[in-house]
Amino acid sequence: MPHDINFPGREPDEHAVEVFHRHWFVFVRSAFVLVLIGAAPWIVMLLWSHITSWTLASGTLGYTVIIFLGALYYLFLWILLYGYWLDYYLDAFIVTNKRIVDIEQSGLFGRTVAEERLSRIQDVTSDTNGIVATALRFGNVYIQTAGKTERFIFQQVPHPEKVARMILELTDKIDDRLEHPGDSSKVVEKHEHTAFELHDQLTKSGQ
Amino acid sequence: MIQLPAIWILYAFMALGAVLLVLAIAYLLVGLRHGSHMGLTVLSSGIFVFGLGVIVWMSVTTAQSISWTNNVTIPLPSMNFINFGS
Repeated sequence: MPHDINFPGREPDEHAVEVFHRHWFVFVRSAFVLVLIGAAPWIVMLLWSHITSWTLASGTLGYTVIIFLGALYYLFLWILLYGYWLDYYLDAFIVTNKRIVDIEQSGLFGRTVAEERLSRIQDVTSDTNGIVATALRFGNVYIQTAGKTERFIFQQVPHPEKVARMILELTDKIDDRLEHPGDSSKVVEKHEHTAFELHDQLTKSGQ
Repeated sequence: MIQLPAIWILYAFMALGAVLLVLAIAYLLVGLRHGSHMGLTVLSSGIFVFGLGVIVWMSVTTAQSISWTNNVTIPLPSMNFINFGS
């Protein structure tokens, strides 16, 4: 099924075949570190009160100042967590029936959109490195093109080998269309069917 | 020992909080502007705003619980260990 999403420079007859984000583990790992940092003051306070039998009386200025400091601390962590989420969510790799689009969001005002026609793709490779990546099945997809951006890297995407295969299928479709312009409708139908089958497989395997 | 109006502490925290809230709004706008899936964008923004609301509400409730009209005395550590020329 084509994705009904917005992406930069969308053409009228263009649809997203697949949209990839980094694997969820990448976000969860960052969030987990923040949770530990958030829990640290509580652990320190519990230990301190246990050792010195110190108690915090509500309604005093000291109590209020500690609550304010805590509020600033957790406000900062909350914004940081949302920043991590945005970094994960707004970084997207989109494969359409015509192009590949690589969107990278860095911070608040840094946004890079790189795109290349499928017809200019020369080579697609994938790799998986590390214990966690192997266990959870995510890795990088490298796309060699003949364009200005010579190499696209889809980083830490789920099932990189399937993604590479899907892009190659779509690239073959474009190549067939260029080689056999008269049979384009059948060729398009055949390859889009294959691409959507791959999309279904990716969805079913719980990416 | 330093003596200062207690309200200054409140103003200092309000200023720092305001800076962080401006940052939060900027992040929120970036998320809403560039989010590709409408449902997920609204959901994540909603959770973020809810979290901000809880923190602000907790701070305001605490601020209202004490009087800010008094002066505060902040004790400084003794500097006796510095004995220049003696």
